[in-house]
Amino acid sequence: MSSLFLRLAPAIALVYALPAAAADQAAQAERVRLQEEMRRLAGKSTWRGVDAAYVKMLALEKNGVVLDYEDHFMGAEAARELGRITDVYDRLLRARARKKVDACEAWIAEIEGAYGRVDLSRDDRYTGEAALTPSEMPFDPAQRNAIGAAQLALQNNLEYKGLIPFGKYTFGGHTFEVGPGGKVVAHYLSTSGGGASGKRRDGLRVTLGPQWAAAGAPKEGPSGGDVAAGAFGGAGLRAGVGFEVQLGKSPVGLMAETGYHGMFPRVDKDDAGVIPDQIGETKSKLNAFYLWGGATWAKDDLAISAGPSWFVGGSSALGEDAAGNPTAVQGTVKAGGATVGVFYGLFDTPGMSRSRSGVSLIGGAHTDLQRTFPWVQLAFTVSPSI
Amino acid sequence: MFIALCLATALSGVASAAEVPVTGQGHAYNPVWSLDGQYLAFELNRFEGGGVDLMVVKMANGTAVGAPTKVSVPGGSSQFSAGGSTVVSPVWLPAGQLIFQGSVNGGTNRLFYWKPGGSSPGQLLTLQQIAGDLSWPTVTLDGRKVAFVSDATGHGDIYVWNQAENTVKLAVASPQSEGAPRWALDGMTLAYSRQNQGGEDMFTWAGEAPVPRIGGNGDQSRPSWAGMSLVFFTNERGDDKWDIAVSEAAGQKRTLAKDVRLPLRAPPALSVDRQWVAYGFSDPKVADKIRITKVDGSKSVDIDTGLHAAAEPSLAMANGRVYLAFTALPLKGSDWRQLHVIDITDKLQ
Repeated sequence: MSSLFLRLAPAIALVYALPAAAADQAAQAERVRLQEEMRRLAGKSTWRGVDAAYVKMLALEKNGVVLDYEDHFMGAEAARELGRITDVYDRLLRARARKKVDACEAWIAEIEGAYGRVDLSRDDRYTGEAALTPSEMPFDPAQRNAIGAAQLALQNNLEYKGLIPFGKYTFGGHTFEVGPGGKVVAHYLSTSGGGASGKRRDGLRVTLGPQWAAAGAPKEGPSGGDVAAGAFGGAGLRAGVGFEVQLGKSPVGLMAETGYHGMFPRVDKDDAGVIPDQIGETKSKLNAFYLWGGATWAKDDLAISAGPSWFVGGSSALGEDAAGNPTAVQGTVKAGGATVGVFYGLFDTPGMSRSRSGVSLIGGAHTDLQRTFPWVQLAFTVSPSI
Repeated sequence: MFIALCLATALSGVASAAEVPVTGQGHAYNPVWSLDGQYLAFELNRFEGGGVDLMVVKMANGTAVGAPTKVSVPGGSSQFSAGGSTVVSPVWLPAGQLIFQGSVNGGTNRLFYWKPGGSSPGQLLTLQQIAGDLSWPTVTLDGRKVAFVSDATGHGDIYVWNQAENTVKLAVASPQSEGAPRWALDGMTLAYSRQNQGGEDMFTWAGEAPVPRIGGNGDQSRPSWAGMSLVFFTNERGDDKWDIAVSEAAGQKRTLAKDVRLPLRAPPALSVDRQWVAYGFSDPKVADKIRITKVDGSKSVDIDTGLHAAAEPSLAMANGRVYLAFTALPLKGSDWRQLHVIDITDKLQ
């Protein structure tokens, strides 16, 4: 058996290897075709096509095709003609990895000696002057194209991260200089204008999620003709919307949020867990609107918010009268206290710039001077982000 | 002509020309000095199979420093660009960069920018800025404006690129083809030629309507400015009889030199001070000489090169010395036209 296997092994290996080899051959053939296409398009100065062909060639690397120095160098030339100097630099580094050529080395040195990195962006609601303008347009077409590409990216994508030529620029009325030293120049144009340096953490916040809410026992029992609700608690829902504004360049900001704070209806039972016979089945519930304001502190994806809060609404619960008989109690609740929330961003909010979505753990306690109303919520939250 | 030659002979002397070593095969043509005389660009024309290379060599005291560098246009340096590239018409900027015209594999002619020691050339203007084949670049003395010809409309029109604004604007257009624009020293006025019933007439343009400068039989072509005078080639005596003429005002023309050898692409070669013009001869008997004549016609100097078919002169000044670059065939033993440089400072005293 083993002898038979040994005799068949080469054939089996061949059967399995043939498709892979054929795929490699096809990829190689495609590479040759793309090289021809690059040559033809370069002759017509159709650099977008040259660039597209290069990107397709890059994809062939997954099939085992190894691009050579010439491929990467022409890719760099195409990227330069399109003004994408950051891609030029990347492709030159790839070319250098294949072969050390003086022209490539000189070009890399030239880029490193003439370009600096910037991180420029603007809020999509920013309405002021947002053009990136060099103090003097360079003669070198590659440098002009790089500036043009940055301008286009800022116009279309509201941001540009990459290389631009050394020199003085204005961006949204803010003047800055790009020079040697490797420092990344970052500027962000916020809705509040002014072109302040650094990004701002302003924007909408939304919270939605289940909560556990409760009402504690009253300090004093009912007297005279009064009735008093007993303690109750259970699962509920809390949903709110608000706004957050960063204070200056600090990690601290201000927030305000309002929304619904409630507890799902729950069948009332006495302390022994029994529905009182005298009144039959009643339900305790809470439906309130809350207002929360306070301070925020944020670092990267972590944000903490804390401040005073209030809610007002209606509730019902099992209670008792002055004689100690069970009774259903309904009334208005007005309570004040404090709320603390911790947010952690997990992903960029789809369709919103500088917004992160993630989870929050929020909790707090209110009091109407008669009883406390604690709650804790685990929520999906949308929060402004840098 | 004979009298002129006799006068010139009295001022002539055999000069020692230093050959610029060229490793590639081809005829050297169209040498162009950088404005500071530190670099010399020239074309290397292979003729068979097409293709013209642009070479640049650093110069010091009239001698090449190292081997010339081949300037390849994007795509032209690739191993699979077997069809070759055509890289011609170098023009130097004041700051030492080079503009030239180039194409790969017979593709579109575009203008390119390169600086010695820098990376491979990049296109000066994008297709979005100006379409078509671009040719005849000319730069103002301050380097702020480049005029050139584009055939985007099907015939040559002259456009001006403003560097500060990065804008391209149409300057001169007509149903005929315009060509060979050249900026005046003021950076405001262009001289150019326009085709006219088989010949070429010369015009000037200063931002408004073109002004006819000089017409006549045959071609009045490739103007170069000497002050506000135009020095140009004319073949009004017949297709193969090229002269150099001077036009000091509209309608005026004075022949400065007859039976000159027409350079492949260049306008008349003027000295840095614009007082002299250099040229070779079409007559094989005197084709070993490059003559330098004052634009006012008052004086001529012959440079006896000791070579054959001397032509394509270009003048420069560096470190107070005047240098003449030209191409020529050796008297025997070479298939290729080579590039030579002579210090002619003493000849122009």
